[in-house]
Amino acid sequence: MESKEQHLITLMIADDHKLFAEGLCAILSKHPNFKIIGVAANGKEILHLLNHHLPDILIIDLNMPVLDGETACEKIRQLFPSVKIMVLSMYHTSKLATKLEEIGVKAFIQKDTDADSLFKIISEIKLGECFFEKTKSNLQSASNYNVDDHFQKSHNLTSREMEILKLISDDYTSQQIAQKLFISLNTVDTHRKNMVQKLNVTGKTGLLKFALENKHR
Amino acid sequence: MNKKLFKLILILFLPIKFCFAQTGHPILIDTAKKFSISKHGYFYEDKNLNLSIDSLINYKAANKLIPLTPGKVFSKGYTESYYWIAFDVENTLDQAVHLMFKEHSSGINQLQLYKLDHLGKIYPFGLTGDHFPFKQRPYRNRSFIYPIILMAHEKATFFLWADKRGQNLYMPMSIGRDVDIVQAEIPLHTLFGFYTGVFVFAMIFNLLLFVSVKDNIHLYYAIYIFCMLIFILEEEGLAFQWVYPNFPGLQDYMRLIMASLSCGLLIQVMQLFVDQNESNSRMFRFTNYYKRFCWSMAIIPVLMRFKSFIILEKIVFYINNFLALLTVIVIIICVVERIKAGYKLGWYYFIATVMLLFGVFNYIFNTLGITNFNLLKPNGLVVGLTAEIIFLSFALTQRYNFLKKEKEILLEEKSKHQVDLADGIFNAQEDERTRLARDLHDDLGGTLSIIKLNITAFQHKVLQLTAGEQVFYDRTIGMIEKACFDLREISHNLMPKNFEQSGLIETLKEHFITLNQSGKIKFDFVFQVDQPMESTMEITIYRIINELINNIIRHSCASKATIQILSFNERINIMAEDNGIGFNPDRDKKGLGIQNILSRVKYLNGKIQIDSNQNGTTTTIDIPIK
Repeated sequence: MESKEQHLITLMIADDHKLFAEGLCAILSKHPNFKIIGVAANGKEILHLLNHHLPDILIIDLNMPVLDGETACEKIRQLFPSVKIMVLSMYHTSKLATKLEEIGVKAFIQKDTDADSLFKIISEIKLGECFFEKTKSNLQSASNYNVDDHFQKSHNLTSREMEILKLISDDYTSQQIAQKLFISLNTVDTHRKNMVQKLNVTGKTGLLKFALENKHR
Repeated sequence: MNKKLFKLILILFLPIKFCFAQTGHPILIDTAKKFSISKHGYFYEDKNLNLSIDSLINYKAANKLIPLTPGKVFSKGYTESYYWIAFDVENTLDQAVHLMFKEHSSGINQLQLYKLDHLGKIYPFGLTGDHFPFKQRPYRNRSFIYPIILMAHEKATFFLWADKRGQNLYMPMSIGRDVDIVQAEIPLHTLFGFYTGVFVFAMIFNLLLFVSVKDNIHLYYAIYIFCMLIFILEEEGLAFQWVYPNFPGLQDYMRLIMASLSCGLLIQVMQLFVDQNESNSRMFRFTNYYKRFCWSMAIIPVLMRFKSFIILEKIVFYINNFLALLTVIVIIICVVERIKAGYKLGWYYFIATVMLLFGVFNYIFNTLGITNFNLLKPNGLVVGLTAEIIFLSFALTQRYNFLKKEKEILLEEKSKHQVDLADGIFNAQEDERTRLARDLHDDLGGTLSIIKLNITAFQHKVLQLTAGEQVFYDRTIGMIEKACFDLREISHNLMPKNFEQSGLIETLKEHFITLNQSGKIKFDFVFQVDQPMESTMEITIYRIINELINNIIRHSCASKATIQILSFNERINIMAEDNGIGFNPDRDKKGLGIQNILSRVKYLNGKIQIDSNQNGTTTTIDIPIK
């Protein structure tokens, strides 16, 4: 009996979406390992509840009236550091994930996960694991580019601008560039102006000079 | 037989009779310039309108004529009779003299001078008067002048017949040397020439203003100037000479008509000038009635042309004088009322009217015989009018400036209001989107999530289901996942979450990451934005770029696209390039996507340029930074 008590994970839920909170409550309470000891509709209410009981894990939404999830998390981390916080939200950005991790939240999970993963995550948080879905943005930065690409990226140029720069260095006039690239003269001029701004050179001659200097990159 | 004898005796005795009867003191012509008639002349009233020159010669011989009052102008008031004037002249010099007889009033209807020489021969000097065309005058002058030549030591008697029936007879006369009479006319003509020039210039000026600015006030004012010009010229007989020499009889009541008309016109001009209307003036009703009264007063003299009598004549005369005074006073009261109400432009009118006021007072007091001096030459009215006309013409152009400025302010306010309105619509739209996005995402998203949780909670029981049921179960979960994904997509499109916190660039960055993961087109996003943007501008630019991206994805068939945002000192440049199939911007402008872009660019006062062909499309948008 005692060991069973020990296995039991106490939970509190804070979500203003009533249907979701109730549904989550129903699913979790059916699970033999979990015990729901409180449900709140916003950050303030959950702080009240926490004054009476402390759960093992607090499942909290971010977007709530009166006191939103993020601020509530910060307060809870200060007042009740023993409570493990799991954020269950509709939103997920890498920025938010980083921020929540800094605050000391144990997990940041999207609401539309399936029940099994949810159960698994809750159990593992109890054991001290953390869950932050790494968004794909971090993968992006790992993309490989060659030297050419590096030049383009470092000067913040577009591939069309690279083409134009190359043609400038080959002594093409704007008219010729327009013909060669099938764009209007106006567009070439706009590109020129944009490059002058980005490369911080002065006028057509400045651009030509830059083009010649970097011809063989 | 007896009769013949009597006549013979009569003719013989006639010259003798001259010597005794009413021939006492002829006008002795010496080297003087001017000679008085009133001291030497006689008059006779022909009540029955049937006397001839012969009868007058007889009456004179019979002492039936009445001597003129010396030093006084011959004036008989309203009359229904003909009048005869007679005076003797004797040239005391050894040579012939050229004299002129002049009637000054220039308003006698019919006039004829006869000369009776010492032999009893009658010489008629021609019929004239303002009921005859100007060219019939014996001497072409604004007044009636008869040139007379007297031989050395010649004696003669002159008879003047005058018809001023139905009107006021006032007939100043003089006789003098022709050179001096003509010379006396020169300064007057010069003076009136000058004033006429000023009036005509002001009139043309206002007519041209009317044509160019299409403001009725200038037309009314031009007519007013015309009326006043005719009025002051008519007084000296110049209007007949200069304006309508072939319409005799017109001038009888011209001055009365012109005076009443111009009173009404001046009121009308004042009302337009100070923008008097029902709502801003208690005087408005009264001035309107008064204006119409003035105009109807102008009709009465026209009727008097056909039938007139003394009382009407007198009433009209006094009313007209009174009208002029009252008009000026009414105008001053109205203008002061408007000035008090804060209409600064009224000051111009006030000053102009005060100038006129002095002239009118001076003139009317003179006419009524209360005073007898002229403040300025030729008379107070002319100078007052000229000052008024010059000043008011200037004021009218000032008024135009004033109205223009007011209009500009109004336009500015209106365009500002329109911008505010557009701002309001855009903000309301964005607010609505934010609300929709939030509701969709949070509420429906939450519900969908819990449905998924609920269903997946059955997972452990799935093993008990048949294979077919298991497939169905999995498909249901797949559908729910699809619904969740779509929902997120839709609400993100409506309003990207945390747009205000993350800002345009961050939001776009994330957007391109997802696009590059899922789509076939490789998007490049290049940006260089140094200064923070206004939030409305930021969201609008986001919408524009989103729409550009959508167009590329949906229609371009491109494999590569670059979106670029660059900020310059005074503008932001957005450039979207793709290597797709292009489109005809002129023909496909009606597409909703393009329309959305165009209206948003317009909202930001930006410029858009679409350079498209089968090798790709480049859209360039420049947006000024406020």
